[in-house]
Amino acid sequence: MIIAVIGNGAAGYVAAETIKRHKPEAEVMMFARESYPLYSPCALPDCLGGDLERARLFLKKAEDYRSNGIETIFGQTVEKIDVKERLVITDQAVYHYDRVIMATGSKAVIPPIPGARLPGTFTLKSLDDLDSMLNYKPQRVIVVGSGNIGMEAAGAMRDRGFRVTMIEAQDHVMPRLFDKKPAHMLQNMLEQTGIRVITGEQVQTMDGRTRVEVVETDRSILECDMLIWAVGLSPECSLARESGIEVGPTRGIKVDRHMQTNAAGVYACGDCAEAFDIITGHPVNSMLWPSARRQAQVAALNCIGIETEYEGAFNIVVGEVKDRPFAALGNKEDIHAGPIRIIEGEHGDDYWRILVADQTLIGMQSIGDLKLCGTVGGLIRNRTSLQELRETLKDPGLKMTSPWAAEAAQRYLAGF
Amino acid sequence: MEGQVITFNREKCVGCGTCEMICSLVNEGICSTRLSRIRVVRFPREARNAPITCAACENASCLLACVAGALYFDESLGMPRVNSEQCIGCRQCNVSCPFGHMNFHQEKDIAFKCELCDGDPQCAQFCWTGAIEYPEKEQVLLKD
Ligand SMILES: Cc1cc2nc3c(=O)[nH]c(=O)nc-3n(C[C@H](O)[C@H](O)[C@H](O)COP(=O)(O)OP(=O)(O)OC[C@H]3O[C@@H](n4cnc5c(N)ncnc54)[C@H](O)[C@@H]3O)c2cc1C
Repeated sequence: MIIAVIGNGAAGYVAAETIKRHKPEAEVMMFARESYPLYSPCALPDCLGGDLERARLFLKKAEDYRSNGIETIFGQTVEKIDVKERLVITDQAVYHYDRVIMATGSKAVIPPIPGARLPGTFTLKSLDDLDSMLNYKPQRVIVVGSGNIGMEAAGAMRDRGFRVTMIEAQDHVMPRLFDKKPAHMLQNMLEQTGIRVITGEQVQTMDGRTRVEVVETDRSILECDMLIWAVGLSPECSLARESGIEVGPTRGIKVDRHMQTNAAGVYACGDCAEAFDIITGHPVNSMLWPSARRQAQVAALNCIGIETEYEGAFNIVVGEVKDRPFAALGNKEDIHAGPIRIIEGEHGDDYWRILVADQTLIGMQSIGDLKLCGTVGGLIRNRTSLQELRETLKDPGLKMTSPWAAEAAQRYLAGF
Repeated sequence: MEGQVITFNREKCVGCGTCEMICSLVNEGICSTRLSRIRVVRFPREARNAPITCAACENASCLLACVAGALYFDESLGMPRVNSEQCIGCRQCNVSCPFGHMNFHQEKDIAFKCELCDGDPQCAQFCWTGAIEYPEKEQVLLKD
């Protein structure tokens, strides 16, 4: 059996490795536009800020593919999958396959506004992006967007000694992951490190003679010589569209719980795929590393006939502002239509909140002490109810069977 | 070490904290619960105590979460380990462990976890009540 894996990111690599582990006789052909062995996009900001050597971004060496029996067809772009004839058509050749796993990932969004691609504007998604940023010598940097990547990019440029302004269109930073109150605390923390934060303004035009010089929002005019777009990632699904593979409402490749697309023998996983949220069941693009890897395992196992269901995507995001960590797990306030109860606490500089909907834990946001976040995350993933936690706290037997749950309940939820 | 597992008999734990002290002493050179890989959750009202360490999960969430290639599964120990050279201190593993086990070393800025003292867990050696043991897997299966 010949299995084509398209993409050499977190998802593609895990898919190939999983197939080889469970079915060593399967032939795995991996296609990738880039020629680098696997590297971690998540560590790009660390390298940008000067905390990490470039060489340490790489998670695999070229030999690792060979020793794992993965055939690499790198430096080629797949232009079409002929799902009827089972052919992968690249810009250079045509290959036959029996099954195909699409792991085409995502691309950074650049809004269609005047000047958006002027010299001096960047995105931070790939190693090539990083290299071109490192070769560029700015003084005043604007980061547009305050999600995980925006926060990290801003911190990295500040660490390198540049003047940094962050612009967020929503009324608070990290709008996808944090509720207003903790987001305001994060904003204060950012500002204390010298980053200027502007919220509620949308970038409308950009101008400059040889490179970006002026950025106009709906309310102000700002000067800069570098601009980083961090307004989100969108699924790379042009290949799917080109090949007649269905794309879902979130613009990711539509898959079932086996990560199979609407075309027979075609699977998708990682940033390019539209999965479902473990808590709400709604379609989501997870766009996270652990989700990409788990989806890749599921796709690979089903692809070789080992039936496995995906559990659903769960948000886990951790970051840091000047050595103070923060984390968001599960869902935030506005994801649910019904009423949400917020249980929150503060201890010195530390802050946490746990969100409860229909008597069940659905999310946690924490700044400072993250020690028991993982345990609460586990409880959220298992849809633990407040009632169950109350019972655990009352019953010495239950305390002993899951002391970690009792520990977290005692810490955060005693009295609720 | 292959074929051995760490077991806890929580009925026998008196919460003395010897395991925490010996763990941090052996692995970090000082006695400190903050740097101990094992931790004892104490419920003083019920006079119950529960040592917690790595559950050696199958398809562990810490492994899936590691963005730096620092966590790997050690087949002979039968549990995930941290390659501290490769760890970038992002804490993704810390907040992914449902047992609150993955620990974070503030000074070194890296994750750390129980690695069974390379196959001779000192917590089991020093536990004087018999609450922590490191028997052969088969023995444990026989008991169940
Ligand atoms: C700066 C940054 C920081 C991040 N930080 C975190 C974090 O802290 N935590 C977290 O969980 N996640 C983080 N993420 C997200 C995480 O990196 C992604 O979710 C994950 O890498 C997705 O992996 P993937 O394999 O699905 O896609 P990608 O990594 O995008 O890989 C897709 C691959 O497919 C190739 N490809 C696409 N189309 C074709 C084609 N037609 N032909 C050939 N090859 C093709 C691409 O070249 C690429 O190699 C971060 C992302 C970025 C950019």
